[in-house]
Amino acid sequence: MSKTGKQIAVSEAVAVNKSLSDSMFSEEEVGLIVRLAWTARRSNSTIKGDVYEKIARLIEDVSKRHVSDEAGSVEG
Amino acid sequence: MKYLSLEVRNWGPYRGKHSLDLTTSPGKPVVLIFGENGKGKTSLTDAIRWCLYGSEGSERSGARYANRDELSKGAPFDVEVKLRFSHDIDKPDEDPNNHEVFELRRSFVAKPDERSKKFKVMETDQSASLLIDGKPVDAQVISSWVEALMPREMSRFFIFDGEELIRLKDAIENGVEGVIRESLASVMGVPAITDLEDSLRKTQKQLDKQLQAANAHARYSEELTVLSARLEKKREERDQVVRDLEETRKRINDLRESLLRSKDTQAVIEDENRLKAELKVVERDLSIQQDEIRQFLHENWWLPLSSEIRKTLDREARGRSISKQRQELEWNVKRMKEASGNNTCGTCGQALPANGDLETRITDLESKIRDLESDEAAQLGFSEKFREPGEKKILLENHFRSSRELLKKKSDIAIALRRVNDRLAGTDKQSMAEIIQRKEREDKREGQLSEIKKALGGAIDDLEAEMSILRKKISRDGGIGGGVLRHSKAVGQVLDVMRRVRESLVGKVRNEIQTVATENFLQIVHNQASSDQSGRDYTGLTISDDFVIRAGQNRYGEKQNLNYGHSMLVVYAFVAALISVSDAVGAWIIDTPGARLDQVNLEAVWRFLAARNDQVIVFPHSNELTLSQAGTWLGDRVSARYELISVGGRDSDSEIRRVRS
Repeated sequence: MSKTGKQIAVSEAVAVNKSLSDSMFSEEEVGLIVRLAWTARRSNSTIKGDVYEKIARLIEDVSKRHVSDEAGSVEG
Repeated sequence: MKYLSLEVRNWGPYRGKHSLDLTTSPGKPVVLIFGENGKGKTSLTDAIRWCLYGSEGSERSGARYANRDELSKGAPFDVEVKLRFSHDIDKPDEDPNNHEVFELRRSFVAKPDERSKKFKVMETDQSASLLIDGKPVDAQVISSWVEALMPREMSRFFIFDGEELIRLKDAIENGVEGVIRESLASVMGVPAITDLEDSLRKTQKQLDKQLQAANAHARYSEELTVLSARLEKKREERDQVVRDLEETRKRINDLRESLLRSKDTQAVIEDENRLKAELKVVERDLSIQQDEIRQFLHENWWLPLSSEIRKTLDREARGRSISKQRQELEWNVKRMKEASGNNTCGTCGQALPANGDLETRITDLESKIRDLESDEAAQLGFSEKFREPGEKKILLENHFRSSRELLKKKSDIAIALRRVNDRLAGTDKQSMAEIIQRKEREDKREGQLSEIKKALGGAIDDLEAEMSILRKKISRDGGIGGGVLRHSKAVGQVLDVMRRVRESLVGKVRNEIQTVATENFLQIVHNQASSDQSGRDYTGLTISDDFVIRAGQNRYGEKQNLNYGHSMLVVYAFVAALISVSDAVGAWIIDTPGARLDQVNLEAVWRFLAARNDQVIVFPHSNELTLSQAGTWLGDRVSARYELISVGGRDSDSEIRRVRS
């Protein structure tokens, strides 16, 4: 079964993310970002805006979680 | 992308409305539309292309396809193509809403050009509309929608004309030109990454602004700390000044009380001070008078006349002397007259001369008086020519008089001061003076301290105002800092990941296409009838950076050159691979697949197409596929069969008929 461009991009993004020593993102999160990017690509501008908004929120949530994780580790 | 239906009206040989159901079911990816030459196979594939891209994006204008039968009537008529297709969206397959349905409609009004004797068509009132799941899309963005699903430059691969197989073969043997390479990148999904990167860069710009604000926040905080320290110092200074001031005022009060306790002494001292002040005034006035006198004497008004003035002054002096003499004589005469009957003076009682002598002497004296009066008048008279200097002299004399008066006043004050000193003889004058001096010093210091306190108060107010502004700025930019930094880092990481994905995506997808194309090619070759075994030695195809496709080495490690027939098969293998890796395209329309293939390769291709999972809509000529061949080669992989036929044998009035299996 061949892979589509999207699937390749997801695999590649996961691999690149894994290679980052201080990545803030999980495998699932990076994959979701790429899949959402593909959804945005073939959507109209309104939906596209919503999708990018969703991605932006996801990234912000990850950064917040990272801060609280750090705070937790300091407290711990 | 999967085609659902095609509807044409007055398009090519299809007069009126005709439609094709193109839906395929799992396991049956093929739709066959048979048609002899001139029955409208290419018209239908062109209808799909025209509907997707319009006349501007198509090699053939829509006007060319206005139905000739309708044209011959001479009246304007509508030409329309409606294409329905679905597109998978990023939802699980079991979700019934895992795809969107697109309904793309394009039309124009065909008008026969009356100026032309031939059938020249004007394409007027063009319109296009796109509904996605029944919702209309802005007409301005229709083309961008279609481009995202299937780039126009790539459409010749996916809406494939067997007649153009050689051109496609040349394209992939010589490498794809720039536009196609971009389209290829688009099919591979590179724009999805670049669009996301653009969006993330915008987010990062906003975060950078917030970070700048956070930096400013830090700067403000630093400034606030510095100002706080300065304010604290100023407050300490002010507190010290206030304490000094209080002590000074206390000392002043003590000194004032000391002074009040010796009130009499105070009164004497006040007298002394008053006299000293008066003396100062007198001395000042005296100095002014003396200056005036000096000024008079320095003027030269009297110099040329000084001798005359002196003379006049001398004469005046003499006049005054004469006058005195006359007065004495008059007194003597008076005395003598009073005593004219007595021997003694009535006033002083002295013995007087005899009467006869008296009369003589009175006469004599009166004569002398007359002389003296005459002489006095002469001596005291002022010459007219000396009037002005004389007046000035009077002024000068006035100054002298004033000076004398002032000198006298000064002398009187000096006497009064001596008396005051005498009064103070019994008091501790020196101690009082010291107290007064100390009080004066303390008063002066109080003034200075008050000024310093006022200045410090102003500085403190300024600092507090400055700090208040800073606090407002800090409050306004509050709540940012570490969180923004983390957020920015997170966005930066995603951007970094996307950049690296974008950079490697084309290469990775190319490798995937190479792998799949090789598999496809080997499968097609494997499908060939046993008479042609030459391709069975191939182990792979290679696709260069420019998407030039070459045969790899054979199983013996020898380089292989593709023969003509195999080159054609490579095109099928490559396009099929392209469709496999593209999550957007997903369907293949092939017009006359066997136009450039020999029977062996054609059979291999049919078998290959039947084995695919992606939708395949094929428009074969009867010599490319007979019904029996279809049964053998395609088996049960066909969802629908259609036949294009002419009504009444006219090429401009075709019909689409579904063939029931």
